[in-house]
Amino acid sequence: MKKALIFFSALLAIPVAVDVARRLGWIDGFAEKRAIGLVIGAMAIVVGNYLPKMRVFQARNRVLGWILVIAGSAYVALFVIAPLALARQAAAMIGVAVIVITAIAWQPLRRGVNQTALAMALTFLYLLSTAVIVYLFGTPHWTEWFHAAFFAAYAVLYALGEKQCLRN
Amino acid sequence: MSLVFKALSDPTRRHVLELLRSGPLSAGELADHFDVSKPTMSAHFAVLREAGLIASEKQGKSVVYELQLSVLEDALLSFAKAFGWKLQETKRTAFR
Repeated sequence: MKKALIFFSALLAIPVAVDVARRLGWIDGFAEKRAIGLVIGAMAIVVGNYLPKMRVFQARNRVLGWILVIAGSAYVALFVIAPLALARQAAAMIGVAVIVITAIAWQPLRRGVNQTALAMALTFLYLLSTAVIVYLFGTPHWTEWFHAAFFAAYAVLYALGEKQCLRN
Repeated sequence: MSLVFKALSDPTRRHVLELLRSGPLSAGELADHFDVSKPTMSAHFAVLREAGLIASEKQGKSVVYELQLSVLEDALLSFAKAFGWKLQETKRTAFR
């Protein structure tokens, strides 16, 4: 759990570092987009790998973990090998598939769920959803509504997790 | 990670993990599958718990064990199952 959190926090810092590097002119926009795709892939691998161990949901943690690891590996391969435009299109499709599968396989939160694990899983889902929207539609004005809706859902799920945690 | 490898190196412990794949089982239910003494089984459970591969929960008088494998550990177990068990069988036949 501690390891997962360290990896995840380090990965969260990379997009910020990449943005700073672009602003300073050390890297171009293409490299930045590739780096962000790679970070999302690496995050999927980290969260997916530890999901069965963190046991956020009552069941299907293992299946979801494998799905995330495979999707993350595909992201990494795409953003390393494929042309950027193709990588973004394919990443959008994989992202949509992961979000849909996660929604279908969603289970009630586990009794005594670890709050940090829950926060990590939700943060990853938020970043993945944002990336998918950007890959599919660019940066339209309605993304603000998406952010608001996601944070509302996040707050509700986190509160539910806290309730489950206290029950233990 | 060395704890994980140590835990997976033993066929009995790998068999315990395989049994737990179908769902949580009590210590007694698990022990029924093996022809070893209770203290030996407890030692195996302790090694698996120490490596973080299983979690235990006390339910009434019995202790219930549940699988707690990361995807990487799961893959390692499958790998060990595919090659480790076959290797052991080969060794057994060679010694006969």
